[in-house]
Amino acid sequence: MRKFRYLLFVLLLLAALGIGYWALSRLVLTEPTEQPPEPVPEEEVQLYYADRYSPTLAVETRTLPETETRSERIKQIVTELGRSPDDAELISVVPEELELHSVFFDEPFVVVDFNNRLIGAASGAGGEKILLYSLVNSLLGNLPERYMFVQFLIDGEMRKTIGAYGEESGHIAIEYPLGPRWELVN
Amino acid sequence: MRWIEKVLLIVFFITVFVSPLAAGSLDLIDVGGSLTREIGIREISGEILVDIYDFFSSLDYRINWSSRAERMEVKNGERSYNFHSGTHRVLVGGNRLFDLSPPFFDNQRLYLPVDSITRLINQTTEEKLVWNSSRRQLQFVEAEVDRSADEYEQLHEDPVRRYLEEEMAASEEREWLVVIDPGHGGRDPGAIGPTGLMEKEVVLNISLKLAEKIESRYPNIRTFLTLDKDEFIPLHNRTRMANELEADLFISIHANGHHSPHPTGFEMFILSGEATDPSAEQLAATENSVLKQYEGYQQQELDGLVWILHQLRGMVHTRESEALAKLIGETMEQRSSTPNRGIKGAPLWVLKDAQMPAVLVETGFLSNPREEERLRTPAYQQELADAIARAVYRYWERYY
Repeated sequence: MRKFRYLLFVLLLLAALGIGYWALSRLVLTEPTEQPPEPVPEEEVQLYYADRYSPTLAVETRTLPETETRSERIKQIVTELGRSPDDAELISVVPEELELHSVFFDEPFVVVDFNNRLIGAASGAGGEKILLYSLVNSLLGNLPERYMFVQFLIDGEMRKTIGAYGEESGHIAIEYPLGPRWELVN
Repeated sequence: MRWIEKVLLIVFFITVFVSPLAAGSLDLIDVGGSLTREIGIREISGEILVDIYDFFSSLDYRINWSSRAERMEVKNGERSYNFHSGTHRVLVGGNRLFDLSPPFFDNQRLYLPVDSITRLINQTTEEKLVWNSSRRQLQFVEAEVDRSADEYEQLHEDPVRRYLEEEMAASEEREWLVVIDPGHGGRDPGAIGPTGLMEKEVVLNISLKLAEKIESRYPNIRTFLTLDKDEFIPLHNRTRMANELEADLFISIHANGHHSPHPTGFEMFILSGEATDPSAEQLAATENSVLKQYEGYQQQELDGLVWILHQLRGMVHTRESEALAKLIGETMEQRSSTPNRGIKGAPLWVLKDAQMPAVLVETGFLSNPREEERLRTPAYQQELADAIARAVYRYWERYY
């Protein structure tokens, strides 16, 4: 008799566990599932990368998340330019470690204050030209036409050139604002 | 003696005795014979250069000095002079240009040769300033003194006529001068090739060969090298030398770099500014207001006049620079197997102050292994030098 009671208790316990599991699994399954995230609005940007085979630039169109401000857009473009392009015939010439401290807008200027990784990031007049206009063309090409010049600052200061061995050792003058050079584009 | 004192003593001796720009002073004496003030000078190869700031401040001129623009305005009542380093013209009274040797800029000061100072004072004021070299004195003397008729005529002759006569005489005697600028040197190696060949070695060799070729082959043309050994020269000194020498051409020799090893070829760069619709002055004013609002900006404001000059300078000799670049391209094409990438415009720092046709030649891509090997060989360097020399000669034939 005691054995029968013990067996009955075990069976009831198992049944209770089974019903509990079933109820719980139903509860979980019937819980409302998460809504798929709202698609983030995207926007096309034109990025000017260097041609691997000639000292020229070529444009690559990329779809990026829309930004709320122009400053964010500029920072996004600089970050993207530091990454490899999709087209294997193009190369990034902007250092990956290049950081944009800040951006300042006043028509027709865009003042961009970079960290010092721009210094010595290219050699030769041709190499410097490609690097600087990869940035200038990409920045101005994605802003309204009323922005016509980019003024470079390095750590908050104007500099004559990006020469690696002092500002008197480079090639392209950056102490003045630079306009775009569309003729460099293939 | 402690080590720091020894170091300071050595630095002092080097500064005083080794510097090619020996510092010193001269006395400025007034009409009554009293010492007005000691004026700072520099001596270069026996020539005495007078500190313009010291000179005019001792005469109670108000001085406005922009070391960034290397421009100085001195004013005393109606009298005013505007000096600008690198240019041989002084603006007198805001409306008249006066030709002198270009002021020499050194250690944040502007200097003029002592004879230029006396000429400037004697020809633009009623005062008479004389230089006594034995006493090292600049002295103001009475303007009206007994002179022979010849001396009087000499003193009162038409300065414009004399200037034109001097210019004509000088141009008859003058040789045609090409300044050759090896683009890198000393602590600045320039571009570095895949196997370590440095641009400074290549461009110095090509430049030396180019100068030698021109001098030996074309007797009407003289050359001047901005550097003839492995040393560092700041960019602004390169065109300053050419301007002071009143050179006819400025050629800067370089080798190129790219972020990939593939590109090959040579290209010629000429100065080009940033073409704009709004006036440069308006843009400079706007940008200053932008920079003032930006908290991170730490330096003085952009000089509107300097920017306008920067914009205009590129255009003054554009046609001649382009003609020279075209000739260099043609002659190099004949001698070199590497492609001619043509003439490119860019706001190049080294060319921006050149007061003559100026071209920067990128002789090849050091970043390309095959071009690096070619540029290493003396025979190829000689071919490039011969080609550029030929282009200089053709330019001389056509335009001189």
